[in-house]
Amino acid sequence: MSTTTVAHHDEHTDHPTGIMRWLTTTNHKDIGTMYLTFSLIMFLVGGSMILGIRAELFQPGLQLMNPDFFNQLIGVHALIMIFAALMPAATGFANWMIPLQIGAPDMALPRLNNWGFWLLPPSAILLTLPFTLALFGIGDGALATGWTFYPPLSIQGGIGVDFAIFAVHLLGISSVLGSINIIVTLFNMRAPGMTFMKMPMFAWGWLITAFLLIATIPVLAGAVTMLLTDRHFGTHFFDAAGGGDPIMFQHLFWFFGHPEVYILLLPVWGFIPQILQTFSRKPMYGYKAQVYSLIAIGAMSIIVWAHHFFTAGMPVPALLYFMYSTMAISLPLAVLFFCWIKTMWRGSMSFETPMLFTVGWIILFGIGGLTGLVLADVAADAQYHNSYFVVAHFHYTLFAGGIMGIMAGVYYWLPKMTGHMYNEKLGQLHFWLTAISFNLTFIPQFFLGLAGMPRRIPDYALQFAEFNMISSIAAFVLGLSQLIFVYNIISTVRGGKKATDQVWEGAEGLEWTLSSPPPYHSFSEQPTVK
Amino acid sequence: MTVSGSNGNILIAKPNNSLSPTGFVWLFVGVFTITSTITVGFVLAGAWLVLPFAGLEILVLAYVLMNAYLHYGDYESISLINDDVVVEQYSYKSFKKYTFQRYWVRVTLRETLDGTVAIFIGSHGKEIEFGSRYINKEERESIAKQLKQDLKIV
Repeated sequence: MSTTTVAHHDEHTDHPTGIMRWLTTTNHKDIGTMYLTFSLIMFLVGGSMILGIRAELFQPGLQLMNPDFFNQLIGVHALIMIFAALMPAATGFANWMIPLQIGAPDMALPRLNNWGFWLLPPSAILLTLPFTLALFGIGDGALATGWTFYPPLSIQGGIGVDFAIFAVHLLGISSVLGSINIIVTLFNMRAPGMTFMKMPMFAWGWLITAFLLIATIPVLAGAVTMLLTDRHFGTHFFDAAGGGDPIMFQHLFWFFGHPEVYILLLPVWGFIPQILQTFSRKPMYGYKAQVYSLIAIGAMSIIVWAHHFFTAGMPVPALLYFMYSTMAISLPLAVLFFCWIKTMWRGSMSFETPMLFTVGWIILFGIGGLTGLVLADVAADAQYHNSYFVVAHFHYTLFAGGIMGIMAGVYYWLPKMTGHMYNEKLGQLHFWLTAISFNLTFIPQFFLGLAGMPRRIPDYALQFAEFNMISSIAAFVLGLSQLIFVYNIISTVRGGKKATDQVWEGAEGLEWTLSSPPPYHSFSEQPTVK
Repeated sequence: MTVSGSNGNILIAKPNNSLSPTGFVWLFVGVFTITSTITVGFVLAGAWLVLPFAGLEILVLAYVLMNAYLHYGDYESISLINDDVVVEQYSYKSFKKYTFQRYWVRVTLRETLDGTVAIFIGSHGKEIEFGSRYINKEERESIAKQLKQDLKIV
């Protein structure tokens, strides 16, 4: 006779447990969690480095470190914040949310996904190991070239440059694997009925990001490899003494480096409108306009790179081209800003922590964008280049525009991921401390730059002392206030008020139809999008 | 992933492919065109070491897309035909067909060594796993229950 046995299992027996779960997992939520955890740890590591720098800059003169170590901290801080904090955070959200948002059971290439993550810890070790080796008398510390690796300094640098080159290779492989995975997932695994123009904005942001990574990572990989061969194998790609061209490296690096800014920001521009519509309790304004703007920004981002080195010397037509094309990016960005504000317009708004971060983000990122327009002006850039004005500008873009956006996303999705509500009072305290101390850190730097203080120098003239002191004190408040963020996340993971499935009253999308936290495997029934 | 119901006494599990077969080609051609345009530009400028990295990337993309394309028609099915339970498993160039006697077939839902829950169908010492690639735990439980109904001896 025929028999059927249906066993019942507890949720905890449904997947491997312990360390093996994390080492071997191919589950998109596990991998997303690992990316986000790694990102948070590296954010604290990179942040600690910059506090060392701000302590040194608290007053003129050399107090705490020699100039070479100062430069090492600056270079590694930037590489860690860009590659090991901001990018993995966005990738963590992608892993967690893209399958949920498009109704897929997992990412298209789960094993590749696992490899993509596990390349990150070795690269973080490669970036920071030279510091430790130097303590034992091996080598002369990490790379001291800034994150841009410019030759001839990088050709003459110590083994820290080699470590950083290999770290960049690993990070690049990880990014390419992740991008291919996201592209195949978004193209081939959308739920029935989910056409491209019904895809959530976050998925759109990531799709364009993935294409940008695929287009630009080989150029970066080629550039740093050529640097490596110049250093050790007798080539002269960038060595002027051997007939090479150091400016060529700048072209190669910034062909990747400028799109990298958008690689960091596009995923944030993807979920910001979703947060705005949730807490404005009205539909997103201008979905199509936003999608087309994201595509336009992505496409334009790979044709404007040379504005990062106007002062290196270029023919006037090239200067004009890169100036006008850079300024033209502000047009689709203006469309985005208009749509974000219009989404809030006459909405039934409430200001929970994700919304606070989002509104703060719009204002501060707006300042970052507008100061970028100033730098895009060839004539003005001659004065501002390599000054603290640039430092302040890109921190408004990447800290406010990137990290504060990520924080908005964390508060928005944390209840969905963990099944618990975070502490709202602590969240709001975190926001206000962050927003105020961030401005107090970087507004003085705009003025320092305008007054002529150069970046990447550990000492400065007495006239800059007061503003540097304000900036340093505020930077420490900014750094310490992030401990509230860490505490809030850990306490939310451990417990707290139970989150509902929808979590937020105005939340819409497939991810909010699942339980909080979602089951280990995402959709038990294929959702259909109408 | 799609699971069809037992209409006509056939249950089919297959991935949901939102990209058409020609879409795979256009996706690859699009990425290839962009990447090769950029690469050629830099190679002409003297940075020829961009080429191997771009080439490697395109090869990986081609392999991944080809793999997805070749598995476009993969499926697993269970058919109840007269007194037989027929299980078919198709995965690019690999077609397996198992026939069990309906009155003796056993459908078991149990944990595998890696901790996932799997459906096993078999009789007389021969057993195969069903739906391991396309359906998740909840679906496996519902399919097992559905099979229990369908296999009822009237």
